[in-house]
This record gives sequence, C-alpha cells and structure tokens, in this order.
Amino acid sequence: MRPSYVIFAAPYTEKSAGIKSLWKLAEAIQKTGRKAIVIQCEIVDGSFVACFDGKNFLKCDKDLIPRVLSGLGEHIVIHGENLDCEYFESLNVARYYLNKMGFLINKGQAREGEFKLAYHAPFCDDPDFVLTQFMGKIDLEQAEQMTIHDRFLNLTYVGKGWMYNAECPTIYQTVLIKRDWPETNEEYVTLLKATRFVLSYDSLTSVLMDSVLLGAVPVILNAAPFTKAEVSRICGPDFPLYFADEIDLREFDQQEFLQKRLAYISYCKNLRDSFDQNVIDMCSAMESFFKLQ
Amino acid sequence: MLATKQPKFTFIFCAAICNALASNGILSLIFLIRYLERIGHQCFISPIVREYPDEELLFTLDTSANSFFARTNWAGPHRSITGWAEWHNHLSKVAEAFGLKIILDPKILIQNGALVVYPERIIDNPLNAPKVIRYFGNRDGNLNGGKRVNQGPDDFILAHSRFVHPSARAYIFFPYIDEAFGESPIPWSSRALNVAYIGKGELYSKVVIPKNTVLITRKDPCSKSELAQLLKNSRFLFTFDSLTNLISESIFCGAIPVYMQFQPFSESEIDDIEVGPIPRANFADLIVEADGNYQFSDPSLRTPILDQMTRFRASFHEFQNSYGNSIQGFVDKIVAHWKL
Repeated sequence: MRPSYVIFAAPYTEKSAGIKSLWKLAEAIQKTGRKAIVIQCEIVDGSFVACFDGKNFLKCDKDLIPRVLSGLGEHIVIHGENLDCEYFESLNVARYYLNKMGFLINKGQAREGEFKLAYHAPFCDDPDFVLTQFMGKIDLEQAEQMTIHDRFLNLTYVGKGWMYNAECPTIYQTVLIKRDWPETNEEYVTLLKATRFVLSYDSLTSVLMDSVLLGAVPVILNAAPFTKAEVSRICGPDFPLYFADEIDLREFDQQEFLQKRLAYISYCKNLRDSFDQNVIDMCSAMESFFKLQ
Repeated sequence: MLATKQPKFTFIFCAAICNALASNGILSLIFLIRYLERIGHQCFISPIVREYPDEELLFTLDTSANSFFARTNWAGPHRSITGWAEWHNHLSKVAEAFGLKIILDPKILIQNGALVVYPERIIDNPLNAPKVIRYFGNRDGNLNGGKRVNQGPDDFILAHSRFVHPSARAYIFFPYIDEAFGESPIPWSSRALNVAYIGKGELYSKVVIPKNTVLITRKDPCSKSELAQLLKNSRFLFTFDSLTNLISESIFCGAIPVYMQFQPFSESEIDDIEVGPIPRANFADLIVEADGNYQFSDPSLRTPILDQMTRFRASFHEFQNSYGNSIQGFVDKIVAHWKL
C-alpha cells in the first residue's frame, strides 16, 4: 500500500506561483496513482490556521495536525518552506523550498529528519530532490511561433521587491504593473506582448519568465535578497538574464535576446514534458527516505 | 480689466472634493476656484462626505476622537464615518495639492451673502443657502439614478456644456488636459497595444471587454504619466463611458477612440460638444490581426480619423485660451441674475 500525500497550501490564487506549484504538485501526485489531498492553511495575525473540513479554518496547536491525520494510515506531509515544524513534529515531512528559508514574511523553522525538496537547487543546502515546475501562463508552442515586432512600452514591477529595497519608485516613462493590475491573465499577457523591457525589483518572480516567453526583456533592478550569481543559478543557463547595472538599454542587443529566448522556451518545454516522470521519481525518493516502501 | 470692475464675491463650493483625481467634473470645479481667486474672489470648500442619497457634509475634523462626524443638514443627526483616517488623509492631500481652503462651518459666510455652488450630484441644498449656483457637469439625474436636482426658482444654472444642459444661464467649458498627454513619438501603425475603459458605462449598458485589450480603471494605472504611456502605445481606446476626459486624453496621445455604446446620450448628441465632433472609429470597421492587434478592415479609413484628431486638438487649445473669458462672463451673469 503506497502512502498518501497531504499537501498544506494556502488557498489557490493565480497571483502566486509558489501557491500554485503546491496545488499543481497535488494533482501530479494523484496522476501517479497515489492519493493526495490539499489542506488549505494560512497564517493569520501570526496564528497558523488550517481547514480540515472544507469549510472552517481552525487555529492549530502542535497536537492538532498529527491528531487529525492519525486516521489516514501511512502518509507524507508536504508544505512550503515558510511553515514552522512545531505543527508537524511527529509526521513525515517534506519541506518544499519554494524560496530560501526566511526570505518571505512568514518565516518557519525546519527540523532534523525532514525531506528537503527544493524548487531550485540554490534554495536549500543539500536538497534530497529538486523539483522545478513550469508555471508559465503561456502556451509554449504559441510563444515559439510568435513574431516579435518593435515594441516601445516599458513596465516596472515591484512584487516582493518592497521587502528588500528601501524605496521602489516607478521607473521614469514606464507603467507600473501590480499583483492586482492588470486584473486578468489575458490582459496581463496582452500587456507583456506589447512590452519591450520589464524592469523588476523582484528578482524571483514568474513575471520574469512570462516576460521572456512573451518577448519582453526582463531587467532585474536589484538581485536582493539573492546574489547575482544565485539569481543566475536559479534562472538557469538558458534564461536571458539582465541586470540593470550591467547593461545599457539604449544599446540593447535584441538579436541575442531573441536567440536566448528560443533556447529558454526549449528548456521550459523540457521542464513541462518531464514533469510527470519527475514527480514519480520524487515520490519514490520520499518513500525511500521515510522507509515507506 | 473687466475683473477690476466686478464686485468681489465669496463662493462656497460644496462638493466631494476628494474625487478630484478621478473625476473631471470635480477637477473642473477646482480650476474654476483657482481662476475665481486669481481675479480677486474668495473661495472655500465645504466638503461633502457622501453624495446622493446621503448628502452628508463634513462637520468636524477632530481626529483625536478617532472619528469625524457628518450631518445630513444643519439640523440633522450627527453620524460617525468609518474609514475616517483614510478619508481625512485623502482630503488633506487634495486640499494641499490644489491650494484649497476648507471650511467646516460656512454658516456665517452664507449669512453674509456667500454664493454656494453645488455640482449636479448634490440634489438638495444641504447648506440651506439662499443664493445657490447649480453646476451641471453631467445631465441632470444621469449619475443619481434618475433623481433630478431640487432646483429652487432663484437658483443660477451653470453648465459645463450645452451638451449636458441646453438652457443654462452660463457655460464654462473646461478643456483640461494634463501636460502628460501629448504627441506620441510612436507611429500609429507601430503601436502594439489596445486599451479599454468602463467608467460610468456600466450604469447604462452591459459591458463585454473586447479581447486582446488591457483594461484601464479609475485606479490603474495610478498616475497620469503612466496612463499617457499606455495611450501613446495604443492604437485604439475602447470606451464604454461616452462622457469621460479619457477620450480627449486618448486623442491627444494619438489613440483612436471607439465608442462601445453611447448611453445615456445619442450618437448625434456626442458630437454637440463645444470642441466639435469627436473623432472616432466604429468597432464594426475593425479587424483583429493574427498577432491579436486591432486594425481597420479598410486601411483608407485611418487617415481621415487621424486628421480629425489633429483638428480636435487644435480646437481644444482654442477653448483653453478662451477659458478665462467664459469665467468673466459667468460672474457678469451672476451680478445680473441677483442684481448684486
């Protein structure tokens, strides 16, 4: 009997790649023939709350989650890097490092014996498994066929950048895009398809990837909280990566960008197409780690 | 010279001044205030917290009590307003940005003959003023669910345009365009974007946003210069609001307006506006290209519209130059109306 998987994730939103990746992982585990459920959870005013019945959120103490899950048989809990281990003490926990520990507002503590699952290898030391997902909102085949005409519109994006920059002014003669504007994914795609440069204070955001796929050049204004080398490793060798203090936008090499863009689309296709097998391998690695096979 | 011959008045503008950055009607009142002050008149703002149907006046700014109060009329009950801090902050910013003087108790000034100006969104006479100027920035009832202004027999009727009030005593057409909106260096055919706007349009019609467009809202983009950047990169503005300054701003940036509906006006009424017919394209004349961009199905339709836009901009500038004269004329008519 294979173990079940219990994934603790914040309520689904299109606006967070991290949250989406947890929900997508649950679906992918189900496709392997294993049972996987999502328990919605949030941190509200410093309290960790979870919803076990699909209706009500309960404030968790260190006993509640093990007690609720006790009837489930053998299982593995997967949650993001920002949750604290005190709520999951006696459980088989795979901590999914969707960012570096402590880089977001909610800062969790890890413990010995957790399975270290990293979204990107640099997110934690010695990960037990690396599971990167293609989280793009764009059809890759369409992106590959897209003709990139001259563009003149430039955007500023702040995202999580406010946490690492004292000020994030909208760059002169650009338009600020936010988490809630443009409101719909279709509008967001339309805007990026008309954009030349996306100047981002957030160095780890799906906006950068979406920009490349839609033909807009991502320019990182500040690598913090990472180093430039870390950002480069996270993005991978095929990503057309530009730092504002290293390039002159007036003399930008568009041809080089377009070539790198096609290479990056190939990388994304590979990521997408190999995902199901990677999830099977991940489950095997976890089950072996917790000796549940 | 005319200004020195006119008597000097005190005006009290009773309006939702907080909306200055989102409402061209309120902005027009602010420009009127600034011009009246320039020619020697005194102006104050009596802030309205909520317009129709509450018509609550701001009564005190006692932030130490962690609330402020409004009342529906001089004798009416006081009510605590929620969200006071944000509201107060916004009001202070607008007043400071435009150099406006707020008055919380204008009773004495009114007793001494001050003239009270109400935009048409204020239906009654919450300040109980004997001399009332009704300013119509839109047609009577359009923005109040059909409820019309309770106009007194002696009220002076002032309007933004014949288009909104055909028989006003005076008109002050307000041809305002922020300096951010100007000629775009991007040729129309090279533009890759199209934008849409709903605004007041949802009051009158079902709204279905055309695909491959980015929706501009009252809130976003959050600055005029960002809005101008979008418009300067846009071929078309698809608007459901048939009376919005965004249409003029779009024309100044070279983006062609497309009316998705005309309500509460008719198409012919739209062209009655002072600056002349509004250049526009018909949605039915457009096609979507393979890359999702919009284009004229018949390319020969484009040049005449772009030419009309050039003429519209010139006409707009002429009205800007005559703005001061229309205000002088308005004051003369007040003098005559009340035999002041």
